[in-house]
Amino acid sequence: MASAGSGDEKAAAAAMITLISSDNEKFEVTEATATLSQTIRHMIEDGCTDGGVPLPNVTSKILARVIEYCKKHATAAAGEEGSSSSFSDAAFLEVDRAFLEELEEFDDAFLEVDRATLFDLILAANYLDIKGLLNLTCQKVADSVKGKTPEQIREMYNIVNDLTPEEEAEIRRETQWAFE
Amino acid sequence: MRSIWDKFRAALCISGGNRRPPPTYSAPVLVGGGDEGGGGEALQEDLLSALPDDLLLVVLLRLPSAAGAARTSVLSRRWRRLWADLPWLLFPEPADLVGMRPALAALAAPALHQHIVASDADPGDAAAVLLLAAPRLTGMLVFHDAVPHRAWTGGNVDLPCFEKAVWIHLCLGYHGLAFPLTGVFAKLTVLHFMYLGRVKELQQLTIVAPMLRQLCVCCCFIDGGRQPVAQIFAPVLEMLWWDNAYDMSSVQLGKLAHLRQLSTFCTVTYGCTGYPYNWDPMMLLRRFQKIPILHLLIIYPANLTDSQYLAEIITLRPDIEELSLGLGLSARGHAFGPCVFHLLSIFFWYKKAEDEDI
Repeated sequence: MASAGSGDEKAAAAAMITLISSDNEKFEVTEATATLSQTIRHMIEDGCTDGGVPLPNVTSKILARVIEYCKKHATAAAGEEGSSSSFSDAAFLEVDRAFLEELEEFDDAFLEVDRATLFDLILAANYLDIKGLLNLTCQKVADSVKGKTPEQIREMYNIVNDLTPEEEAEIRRETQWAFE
Repeated sequence: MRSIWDKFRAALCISGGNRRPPPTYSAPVLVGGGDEGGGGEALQEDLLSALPDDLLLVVLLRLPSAAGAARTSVLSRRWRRLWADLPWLLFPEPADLVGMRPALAALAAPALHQHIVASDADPGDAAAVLLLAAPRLTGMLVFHDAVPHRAWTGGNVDLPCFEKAVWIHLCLGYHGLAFPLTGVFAKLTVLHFMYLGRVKELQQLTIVAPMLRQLCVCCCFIDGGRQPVAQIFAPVLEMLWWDNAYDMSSVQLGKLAHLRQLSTFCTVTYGCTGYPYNWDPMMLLRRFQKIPILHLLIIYPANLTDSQYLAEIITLRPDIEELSLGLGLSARGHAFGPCVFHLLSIFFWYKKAEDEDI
């Protein structure tokens, strides 16, 4: 089940890994998909994936989404390697561009989730160490905060202001440069 | 330039923290599992503040400016000092060096990197910012002052000693540079000086960097009639990029026994000034015992009138393993074939001779 370890590339690509969510649901994914997660990549390298990889911090609902992301991006990575190795003419660049656009559309659609799911995805991406997904989800949060006043951010994210008016005034003085 | 930017960007990528143990954090969202029935928006919890610090910093780093990050300090107690732990601050370009000072001064954690793009900065302001950055910086400093072409104003930027920095790229426009009188750039492995005091060229360059592996001194001593003066102590240097005048008697480079790569330039002609440009790269080439990789930029001056084609004086050394040629064409219509052919024929002649020896 786990890594073929034969050195044969095709066999390695076809090797399957079982991921087990916190609610004990099992997901079979290819090694190429799973290794977008650095955490799982290291587990595979250390040979500790026999019998499945338990992920006690990720629910099945979130894991399914994470796998959806990894599948799409693993295909993109494979496509990139294939196209850059021997061809670089205009037709292939065109295909690459179309593919990147498709990937961007996928990412945009992928982020159309409620806020609780978005934060779960951030935590899962961090735990599984999937850089692309972490960047994508954190950027979404950053974009939502960008250009907003502190009051607007508090309201948007239900942040309770536990600063006294004096404290707040002091902080504003300290960081006056940021409010100018 | 591109490679520097690329490397800087690469360095800015968040390290995910490999093999991080599972977080002990217990967010209500994990328990709730999401939007089954209820819907996440209906929850009144503060999901954002519940994220661990390192993830909030990832979010803050993705804001377009340090000011935006610093404004979150008034959200609540939880947020008050968070932004000051950012590993680098992002300032809009061109940066307001005076406004930047309180931000740098407030940084709590040692900054990993700092990237400053100024425009026609005052030398005093530039020096003040560098002085604030110096004790804090542990990674890379890029200070790039893009200025319109104008005469040198006579200002020098005082460079403090960056004891902990690993990588420094300085392009100070038309300012000169004054080096620290004491101190060692102990951790420095890469140092780039570009166009320092381009009009009135650098008076003297003194570098003591025991760990330095890559040194680029580009267009700092370019004005023909003057003698370049440099003392460089970099015993483990592997790559030297020297696009300047070179004089064996006044440029002291030390032994450089580990040098793997040399990049320099030559011109195809004696220019109108009568300065024998091509002696410099030739003397530089002869200076080293071995140069495995040579990158030679061939420059074609814009005005070839009254100049003499003398690329033939350029010779290569027999121990070069890799040769790459760049063409700097500042005017159109020049035939670069003869010079390239000349260099490649020497290179391959040596290679052939080597093969025959074997």
